[in-house]
Amino acid sequence: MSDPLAQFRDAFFEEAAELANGMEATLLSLDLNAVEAEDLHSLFRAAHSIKGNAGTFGFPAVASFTHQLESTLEPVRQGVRSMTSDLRELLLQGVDLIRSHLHHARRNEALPPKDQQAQTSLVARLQEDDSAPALAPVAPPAAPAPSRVQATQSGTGFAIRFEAPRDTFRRGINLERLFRDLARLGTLRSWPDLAAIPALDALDPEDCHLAWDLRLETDRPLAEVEEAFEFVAEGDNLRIQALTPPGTVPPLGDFLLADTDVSPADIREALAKQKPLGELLVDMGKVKPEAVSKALDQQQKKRNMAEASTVRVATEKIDRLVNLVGELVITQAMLAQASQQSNGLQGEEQMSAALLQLDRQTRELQERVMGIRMVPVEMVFSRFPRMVHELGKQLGKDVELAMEGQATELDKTFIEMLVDPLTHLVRNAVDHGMETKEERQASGKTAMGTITLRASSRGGHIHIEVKDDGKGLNRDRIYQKALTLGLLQPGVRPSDEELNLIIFEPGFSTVDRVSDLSGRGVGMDVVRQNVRDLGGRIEVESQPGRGTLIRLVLPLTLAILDGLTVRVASETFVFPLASVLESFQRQAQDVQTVKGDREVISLRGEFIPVVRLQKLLAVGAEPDGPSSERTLLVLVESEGRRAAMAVDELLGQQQVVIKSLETHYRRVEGISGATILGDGRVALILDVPGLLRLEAGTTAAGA
Amino acid sequence: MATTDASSQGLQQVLCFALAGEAYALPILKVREIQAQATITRIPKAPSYMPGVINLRGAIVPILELRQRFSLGDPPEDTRPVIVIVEVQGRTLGIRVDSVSDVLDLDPSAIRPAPELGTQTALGREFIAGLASLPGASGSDSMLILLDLDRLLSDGELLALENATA
Repeated sequence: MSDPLAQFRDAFFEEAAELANGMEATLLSLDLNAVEAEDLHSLFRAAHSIKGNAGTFGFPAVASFTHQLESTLEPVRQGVRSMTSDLRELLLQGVDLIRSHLHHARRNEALPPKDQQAQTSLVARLQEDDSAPALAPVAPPAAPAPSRVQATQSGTGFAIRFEAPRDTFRRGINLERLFRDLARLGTLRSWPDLAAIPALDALDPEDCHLAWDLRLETDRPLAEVEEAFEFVAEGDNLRIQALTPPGTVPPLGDFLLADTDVSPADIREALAKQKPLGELLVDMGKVKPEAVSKALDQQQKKRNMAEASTVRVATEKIDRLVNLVGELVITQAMLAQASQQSNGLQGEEQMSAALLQLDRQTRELQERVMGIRMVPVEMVFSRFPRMVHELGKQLGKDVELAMEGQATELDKTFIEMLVDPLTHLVRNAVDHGMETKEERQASGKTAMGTITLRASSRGGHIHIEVKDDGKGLNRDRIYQKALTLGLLQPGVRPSDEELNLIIFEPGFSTVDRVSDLSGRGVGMDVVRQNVRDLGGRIEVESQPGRGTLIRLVLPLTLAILDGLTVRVASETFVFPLASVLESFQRQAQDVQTVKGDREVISLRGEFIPVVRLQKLLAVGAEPDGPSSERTLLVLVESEGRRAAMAVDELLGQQQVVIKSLETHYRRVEGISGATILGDGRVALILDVPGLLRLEAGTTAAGA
Repeated sequence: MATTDASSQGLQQVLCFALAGEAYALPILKVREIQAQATITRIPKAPSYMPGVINLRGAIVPILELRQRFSLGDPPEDTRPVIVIVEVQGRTLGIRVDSVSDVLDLDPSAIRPAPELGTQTALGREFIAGLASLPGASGSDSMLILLDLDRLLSDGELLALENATA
């Protein structure tokens, strides 16, 4: 059974998430002293759109909750109720709940109890300082407030739990009629639940203590079912849940209900005894609770990754691709014709013209296809205004966030992998970089601190900067700390730049007090690792009293690399240009030997180890190497270590497309991947950190 | 063409190739294509029977030197080795052989288990799915060695691959 709505459902989730992000951004940018009417309208519109779409796609829980937000916003935008800072906080919580709703609805899960409580109290608080009645009478999916309606879609029917109100009899409500109405909608089965009826001596015969579990098989929409309960639904006495959507196998309980005497109440009781796997294992003493929560985190991460595997591409980008492919087809026809041209000279002319065209088109095609993977940095940046807002509040600091260059485009993979490092850097900036209000005023600065996030594209690289106007790095303290940690040798004090980078060493933290947010020693080194995994590097600039700037320099995409092609013996290798500092030629006798076989070369007064790639990688014949007059060296740097790699020839600098060796082969130490050269041969891409480790390993083993 | 006939009669189609004068065969369903000689890029520190990779229309595919794997020595000067591209356990791999002859329909009942060959040979019994005799031109039957690709590759190389990637 295919579900016609399924293909749109993903689009709904994406769009709803965007709308929620938009609401959050608008809320945060509101100037409470002079609220723009347009902002209020846009908030209202966003809530309204989410509500409408959620209703259409069969997510009534989402719809009814957003409806509450919409109802709250209605008097605000009409100027009846004023937007206060409290209301803003409530609405921000509301946005969080929308996200949680969407998140769980996407997995066909019910909202977790924690969020349900949050929702109940939030809805109550939203209405609290609300003089005007928030619930408009036209409310479409007005399942009373803490609606547990978790219909994933209508179609097969509903499982309904209905507890008749205490005053049913006194109000003269005819329940029989209710059941008849329901039965008219489809096939109805009912199980009365008499558990709530008190003993005879305590029974007030005018009170109603009845409850029912109902299963209604129907293709009617939820709204019609709810209508039947119109006069009796109040508070949380009515719960409607969609039966298993088509295409999925119903839970065991459904089969038992259909074939045996088991009642829904029995099943609920049994389920209540059931515990999650993690809890069971903890009870058995097999694992620690922390281990379980860690495993759950991992599971969550996997899920998130699975969700992020689609890209939304602007139609404009696709149109250009289609055009380009059209042009390619024409070029191909030109080439075919030229190759059959009897007149040799004319054919050749046509051929070279067509080839020229093909060259241009393939290059453009490559750029465009790469462009599909590119998404604006905005996607990562957009989460930070909220984070900085919350952090500032928590830490009692006045901080505002400025963002520049949000439109800069980055590879989608990068975007996902940048979230953690950037979050960490921004947190650090607020927590450690920024002074308190008092400290700022004492040093003559504005009370309001500014964190700036800036993205820009600089010739083949993307720069992402996190800048604060705080107190700057305390280099003396970093130096002292590095000495005590044994990261530096006493005596020589490194340059300021080198000291700045020490904050990225594992285990390094100058903060004495460990706050809730940062300073736990994990972090900065992980940031550096993440950035390195992306093929980028980190730069730090800091001025005492003026602030700190941390710059992530990233390659444009993961798939293409700027490379330096070299020849070693008979093989061609590619150095990632990012790790190459320079290349130079030396007389063979300039290479000196230390401890017998370790070779070093002096470069501007510094001794740098020489690595013979031919020997390290065991390619080709024994070198005529040391005996030859000149040695070509490529100076590389990785993880603060430098080495001069001896090669036989420099072939040139070019962009190469990275291919995985692991798809069909395996990981090779010292090699990060492969690429295909212009002549169709495969060349291996060198992994500089790996080579240095390899070299260290061989010399250690040799010693 | 022959495929439907062959399968309907329960016949197994195999690709025959030569290696140091012996006739070998692979199930045709594992074979993706046959490539003329391509330039092999050597991988540092790779075993001699898996010396490097080639470019198969943009994919980087490792090459298995069957002569080296079976310790059959280097091919004579005048042979022009051919690469049989196979798919085993989700990986694409090129097998370098001396030459490819033809595709045969084998009756499964004609395939006999391999005899114990002793442990000193590299081509142990475990790589052989079976032996089949073919009527030769001179009247005497010639022998065809059916290779068990999955076992051949799971034995050494792919196992090493898995460990290395893990």
